[in-house]
Amino acid sequence: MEILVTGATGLVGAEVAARLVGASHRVRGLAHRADRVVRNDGRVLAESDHGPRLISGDVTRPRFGLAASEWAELATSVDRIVHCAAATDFGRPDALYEAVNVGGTRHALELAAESGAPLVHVSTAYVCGERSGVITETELDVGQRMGNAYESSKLRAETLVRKAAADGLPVAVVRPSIVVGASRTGVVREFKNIYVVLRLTTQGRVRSVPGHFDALLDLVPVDHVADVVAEAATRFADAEGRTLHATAGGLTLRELSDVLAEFPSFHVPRFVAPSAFDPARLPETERAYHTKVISLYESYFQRRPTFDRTATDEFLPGSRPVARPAFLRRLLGHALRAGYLGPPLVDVDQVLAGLGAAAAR
Amino acid sequence: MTDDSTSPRRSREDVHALVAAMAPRPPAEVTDDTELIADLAYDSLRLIELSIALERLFELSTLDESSVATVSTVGGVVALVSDHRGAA
Repeated sequence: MEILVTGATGLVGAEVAARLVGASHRVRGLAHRADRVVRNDGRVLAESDHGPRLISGDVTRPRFGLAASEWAELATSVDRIVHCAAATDFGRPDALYEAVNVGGTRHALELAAESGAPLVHVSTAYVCGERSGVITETELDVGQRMGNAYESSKLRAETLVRKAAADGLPVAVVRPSIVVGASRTGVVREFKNIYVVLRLTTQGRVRSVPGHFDALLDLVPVDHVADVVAEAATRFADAEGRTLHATAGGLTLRELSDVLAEFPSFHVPRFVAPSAFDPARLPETERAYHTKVISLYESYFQRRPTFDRTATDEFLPGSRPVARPAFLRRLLGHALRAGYLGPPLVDVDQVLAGLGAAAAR
Repeated sequence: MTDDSTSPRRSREDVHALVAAMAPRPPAEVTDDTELIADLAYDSLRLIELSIALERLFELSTLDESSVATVSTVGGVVALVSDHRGAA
């Protein structure tokens, strides 16, 4: 089959592309800055070696910003579309999420409609917003409050996909939770999102975080997410119309704290009841970290979602990753070896003190 | 010296000194063309830390993370600081 993967250079997209290439499909990768596809473990998927053929495109623009002829050629040749492209960093402007996550999905759906090719949409389990308890794969918008602008945009995007499905477009949705390193090695290509919080806390830059000890963090290995997405694309007949939670089950903040405490070099953050937490009482630099980083993730330390995986377990039996402290140890061990959670750089207060001393001389 | 510290030349020197002191890979010298990521090994979190240090040193109101994230050179940081000081 000829399969288009949008966001092919991203963490999930690259692993999906690798699996599809491995299964002897012809893969075309759409990427904003198309240079090369690097797998999670750092290996490059070269086009010369049956790797994906990269197309430089912009999902925020109609027809992905491609020339009419390129778009038409794509629409006649693709058999499947896997829509991985998304802005996943937190704290970016609302307009960016709207353009990339909602606009990008709209344009991917247009390609699906024009080509007749089935579409696998990569959403997020956190379209559930701030709900706690069991979240089923069939639920979407039940009037929940959203945790941040990223989640809201992904909810709007998945709503578009569902509407298209209701109008007869063949689609499947995969909802990963918080995507982290590989299940067996803990290796991750880039340290983003939750890793940033882990760095700030384990290095002692941020010492208190508003959160509940029984909040659940659902960390899912990137290989499992890519497995589900690639399978949904290749066995589309079995996935059609389904929403698949690519999730691992939650780790409590208590388990997180316990594992962090096993690492001699790590600081362990204090989780403070949100009602008793007042950022105004933090030291000046920690308050800045709180405003700029921690507050974006705050609701993840307060929610208790349990993602139901009935459809995924039926679709891919035996694939369920296990959210064990052992997995968290592997993630942290890799980040430590890679230097990301290593000895901290000189902190802001020390730098400013040093500059002040230099100026006074 | 107090007068001097508000002049553009002085801010440029201060920004250069701060960017160099915060750099994960400390440079032999810093110019306006020095690249934050390629030359000085800044990553997204260290850029956030740089923005915190800039706010403190120049007494700026909170810098918008997106504007910091799009700055690529030391000269870009100088411009960002002078824009914010001008606006203040």
